[in-house]
This record gives sequence, structure tokens and C-alpha cells, in this order.
Amino acid sequence: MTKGRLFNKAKNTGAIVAMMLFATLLLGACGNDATSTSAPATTAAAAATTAASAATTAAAATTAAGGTATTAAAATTAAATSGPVNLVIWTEGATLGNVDTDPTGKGKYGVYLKQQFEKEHPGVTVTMENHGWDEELRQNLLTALMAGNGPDIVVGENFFQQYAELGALAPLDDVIADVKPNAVPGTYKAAEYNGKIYGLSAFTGTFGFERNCVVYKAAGQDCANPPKTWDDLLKVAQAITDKGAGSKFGYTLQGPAGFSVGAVFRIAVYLGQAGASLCNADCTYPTFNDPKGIPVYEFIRKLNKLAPPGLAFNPDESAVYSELFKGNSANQLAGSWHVTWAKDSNCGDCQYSPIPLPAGGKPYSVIVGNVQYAVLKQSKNVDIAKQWVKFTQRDDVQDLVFPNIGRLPSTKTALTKLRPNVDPATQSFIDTLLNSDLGVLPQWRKDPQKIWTAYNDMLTKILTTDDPIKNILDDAQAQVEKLVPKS
Amino acid sequence: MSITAKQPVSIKEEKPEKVVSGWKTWHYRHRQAFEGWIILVPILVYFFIFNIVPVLLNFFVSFTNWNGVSTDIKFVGIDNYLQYFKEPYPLIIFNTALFAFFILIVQTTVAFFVALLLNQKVFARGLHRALWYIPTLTSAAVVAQIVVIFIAPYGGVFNAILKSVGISPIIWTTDPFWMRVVIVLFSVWRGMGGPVVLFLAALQGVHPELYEAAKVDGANGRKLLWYITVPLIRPMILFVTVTSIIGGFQIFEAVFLITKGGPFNQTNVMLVQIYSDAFTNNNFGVAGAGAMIMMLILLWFSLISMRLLRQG
Repeated sequence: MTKGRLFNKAKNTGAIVAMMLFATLLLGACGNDATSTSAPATTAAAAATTAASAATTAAAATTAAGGTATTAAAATTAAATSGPVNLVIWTEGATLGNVDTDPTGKGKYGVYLKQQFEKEHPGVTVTMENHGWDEELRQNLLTALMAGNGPDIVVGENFFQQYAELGALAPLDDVIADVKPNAVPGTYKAAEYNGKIYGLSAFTGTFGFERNCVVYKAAGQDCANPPKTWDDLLKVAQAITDKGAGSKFGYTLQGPAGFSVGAVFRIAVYLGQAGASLCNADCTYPTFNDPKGIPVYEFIRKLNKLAPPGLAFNPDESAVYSELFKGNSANQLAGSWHVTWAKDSNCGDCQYSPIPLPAGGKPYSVIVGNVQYAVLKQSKNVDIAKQWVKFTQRDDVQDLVFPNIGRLPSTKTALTKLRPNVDPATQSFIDTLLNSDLGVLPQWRKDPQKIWTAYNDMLTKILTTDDPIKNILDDAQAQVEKLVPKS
Repeated sequence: MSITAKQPVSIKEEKPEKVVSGWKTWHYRHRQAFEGWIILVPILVYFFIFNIVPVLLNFFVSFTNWNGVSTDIKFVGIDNYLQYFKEPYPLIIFNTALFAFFILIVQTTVAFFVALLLNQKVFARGLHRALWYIPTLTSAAVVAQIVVIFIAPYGGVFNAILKSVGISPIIWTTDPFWMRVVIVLFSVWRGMGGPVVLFLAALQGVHPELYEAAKVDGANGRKLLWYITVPLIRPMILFVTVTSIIGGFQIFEAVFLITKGGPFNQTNVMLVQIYSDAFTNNNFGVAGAGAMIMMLILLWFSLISMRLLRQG
């Protein structure tokens, strides 16, 4: 063994010990530094929050009474905050996307959410960030929560029940009692857990029925009278498909892809109309084989035969729905954002109406594109954060939603005020929000990826085979119970 | 210009005549170790914090029911590991091995022959070489989007070609066989740049005189390849083979961006399931167990590769 080797014998032990000591001291120094800077900040922030909350609790903005509401924007009392508070809000693209490039146009809503709140709460700085949506958002949120540096407020659509159960969210009931009656009930249903509300919707959407009248007319169909029942829809879709000779089709259906929920979002509308359910009483465990669902899936199977062949299985959702705008398909279920999308896609004559009903069915739709905010328990500014969530419900804020970002407000007063000033298409979606029974997608407590994969596999079998629907549903239920046993 | 020979340094002369202090003596005796550790400590600290600690934490998490949020963590023994014997995990492990195998065979073979072609003296050789590396540099998300356009069942490029020659369109996305083929092709196409460069570097290390001598002895192209090229670049073939297997087992982007594991879980692979278990299912325990199983598989392949490379 040569003299110069690094690890040659015990004589290097001293060097090793010295280096390890050095590394320990270095790490220790870093640790001490972080602790010493964050502790006073935390204390200051907590003190500021307490003071701010006391002041802002009195600043109730909107009062709902008997279906009408009084805007009290002017009644915003300046909050007396005793120290600087940085309120970090994870928001999404529609709110934040144009804040810098078009602050007086499309970005005005996002700018107002920051500037007005800061104006009314001196000492509070609102920092809005975009950390993605859906999977990307949940991944970022979970990572931030694990690191202990999550935001004060997080945006989301379909996971607040799950996170409330995990203990990550703070209930809002103590501050929203006065604004809750004015919120469209379906818009906070997805954030309701154990009788408490953990999130409120800033803006929302729902499904309606969309038809391309150019395709209707080309097939000699009367577009002025949209289909009112499932049978009407099948009849008109069949006529258009027959006349289209392989180039025009009667319906656009979005099918399954992996564990995505795009397809089930729309099918849930038809299931709800027929009184069928995807889940048990508290909607925590799947019941895919509800007998009331059988006619729904038979209807879906028929519709798929009237759709462009294979289109349902395109994993790109926008490619599926744009076939109607291109004039290749006549009918589809449409989210409320389709109105703007159709215009942008130069759909010459796209029209909207209530969703056709099954015999003996009830009007029903599903809340979608629902941008909710929840306060994280981990937040150092829980009280002021709750005030911000409440602030999104105020009329002066809600009134900015549609003109600036083209989405629908989620309070009854804002929707009622907006209705006379919009086109008939948007009116039909507002009517659905105000008058229909609105549901939300189930949020499985355990292994949602495995359950939605099983659902999508079931749907694939329904659409690609002629096997009896009942057998397919029973097999899917058995598969789910095997994958995710009831706890 | 005069050259002056350096006098050899006498060790005796370097030694201090008397001990000045304990520290200086200690430092003198350990100077090489001291310098070595100064260089090593930053990377060791980094490696410890960002590699060893996460592996140890993951090992701990794999025996718990941690959901990523709650502080109420319970020890569940080997339950999370036993999950890998239940549906759908055996199928997922099988899919992963299947993809790794086919990616290895196709990628290594094609990359070898592409490297052989690129080693010829052809016009714009540099451009050809660069072109083969472009897929590796291209964003996986962009390429996946292009693949989706190609395989779109209605209006997709492949079905348009089939239609033009009178063949009925295929609904690729519901056919497990075709989706597996798409995943393999996507992975091979994206990952081929690296092996091509490695093979090319090895081929350029083969001395041309060996080929000339063999030609004089009457060897044809096939014999040149089999008796000269292949034996001389064998270490590189081994290296590429083993790294391709490891890369194949770590397949993620292709599945996540194109099929999300469907249809019927037939394209689902371990990394995608580990990701889903952690971030969608909030089950970090099962995800941690998956990561440990994955680590053991890759460790095994790494040890084999080290042994093979050492053998030459």
C-alpha cells in the first residue's frame, strides 16, 4: 500500500474526523441561519394576521337576502394590520394569464383581486402564482405541503374533499355564513366534507347542449327545434349521419383515456338525468353497476355509432370537440366555455339549448371548470386568507369575471345581473346554473387513479363491444372491489 | 537554449530539522488526505443530502401508510411490498420488463447499424450525425403530442395512410398491441441519439489498418463486421446494452404522455404507477415500496454491468 493513498490507514482518521466536523459545522450553521430568520417572521406574520382578521371580519361585502343581494363594496373597511403579511395564492391561468400583458382587459380580474384586496387591507401583500392545474397542480401542492412551504390559499376543482379528509384544509364556515346563501349550491359541493365547507368558487361553468346548425341544415334537419329528448337526439343524429355518407356525423362523444375524467364528466350528466349514481350514499365508494345506469350506457353506445368513427378514443379532448366547430359533427355536450371557443373557431352557426332528457328523466347538469379556492391549514395567515376567499364572492369582484375572462360568475346575484346583457347561448348556461339540479364528480377517498382506470376500461368495453351492458358493469364493479376493497 | 536537469528532491532535505508545532507536523503528514477531503467533502455532503437521505427516508416511508399530508403515520410492516403481488402490480411489472426488453433489442440494433452508416464517408456526414441526435434533444411533451396526432383514430396520419390504400382504419388507442408498439417506437426514436453517438465513437477508435489487412486476406463486408468491428467495440456494445436495459426500466414519459397506462393497464409501467400512487392516490407507502423494488432491480443490472465491463 503506497504512502500517498487517501484512505490508507488509521493515520488518516484525524483528517476524516476533521472534515466531518467541518461538514457538520457547515450544515449546522446553515440550519441555524434559516431558523433565526424565519422565527421572527413567523411571529410577525401571525400577529399581523390576528389583527387583520379582527378588522376584516367586520368588512362584510355582500349580503344576500331572499334571493337578492346588496353590494356593499363601498363598505370595505380598511383592515388594520399591524405588520406586513404576504398572502400567497396559487391561482390558475385564466386569472393570472393576462395580468401583465393586458392589465386593463383580460387581466383586469386578476389585477383587481390583488390590488383591491391590498387597498382594503393595508399591510397585506397579495402574491398570486400559477402552479398548473389538475395533476400538475396536485403534484406541486403535495410537494409544497411536504416541504412545509405551501401557499396560504390554493386553487382547485375536484380534490378538496380528499384534502379536507387528509386534514390539509381549513373550514370556511366561520366566515362565509353571510355569503353562502348567494353562492350557486353546486359550486361549493365539491368542497363540502362532513358538513363543512372548505372552498368557495370564484368562477364556474356547467354543461349544456351544443349543435352546429350548418350541419343540421345540410342534412335537411330543422335546427330551430333542438332535440328535447334522448329519442329526438338519436333520431336527428341518425338522419345527419345517414345523410353525411361518412363525412358528417350526428354526435361527438368523448371516450375514455387512461385515468382521465374527461369522458365521465359528460356521462355523469346523462347518468344524473336518469337518476343513476356512480357512487354510494356518501359518494366515497363507486357503484358502477347501478341498474339505473344500464339505459344510459345503452344510449351512449348508440350515440357512439353516430359519431365520427374512433373519435371518442382520441386522447386529445380539444381535438374531439373541435370536430363540431369544423362542421364534421352536429351535436355534443358542451362546457360553458364552448361559446367563446366556437366563436374563436369560426363556427358560423353554433347554437345552445338545454340537454335532451330521457323519458321520465329530470333536468340535471354537472359543475365543470369550477375554479375554487381553499385555505390551507398550514398557512400562517389563515384568517386573512379566509377573508380573501370570501372577497372573491363580492359583487364587484364577480361582476368582473365574465367581461374580462369570459367565464361565468358563481354567485346568484352576479349571474342574475349578467343574464340580460349576454347572448342567448350564455343565457342558456346561466339558466342551467340558476335552475338545474347540479352535481359534481365523485372524489374517491382511496386510490382514485385505480378506480377511474377501471371506469374507463369499463367504458372502453361498452363502446367497443356488443357485450350486454349489465355484464360489463358488474365486471367493472367486481374489478373495483378487488383493486380497492371497501375499508 | 540550455537544458538544466532538475536535481532530484531529497526527502530528507524536505523534512523539517525540528518540530515546529503539532499542527504543522500533523498537516504535513496528512497533507494529501487533507487536500483529497477538501475536494471530496462538498460532493459527499451533496450526495448524502440529495441521494442517501432520500433513499433512507423512502425506505422508512415504504413501511408506513403515509399519505403525504397527515402527520398521523402508522407502521404497516411489509403490507406495501405485498401490494406488488396483487392486481394490477404484477401486470405493471411485466409491462415494464417487456418494454425494457423490446426497447433494448430494437434500440441497440438500430443504433448500431445507424452508427455503421454514419461512420462511412458520405456527403454532409456531420449533418447526418446531428440529425440522429435531434430527437434526444426534442421535448418529450412536444413529440408525444405529435405522436397523438399520428395515432388519432379519426383524422390521424396513420389512418389517413391506411384509408388511402383501402385498408379500414384502426382504433389504435384501444388496442393494447398497437399501443405497446407505439410506446416502444417512441422510446427507441427518442433514445437512439445517445447509443448512436457511443457506437460512433467506438467505431472511430477501430484502426483502419485492421480493415485493410483483413481485406488483403480476402475478407468481405460481413466478415469485416463480424470478425473486426464487433469484437473491437464489444465493451461499448456491453455498455450500451446495460444502460439501455436500465433506461428501459425507467420508461415514464412515453406512457405518461401518450397512454396514461391504458388501455386496460396494458401499457402501465412501474414509474408511472409509482408517480400515480404518490401524487394521485396519496399513498406514499406503496409508492415508496415500488421505488425500493425498482431500485433493487436497477441495482442488480448495474452490478451485472460493472462485472461485465470489468471483464472487458
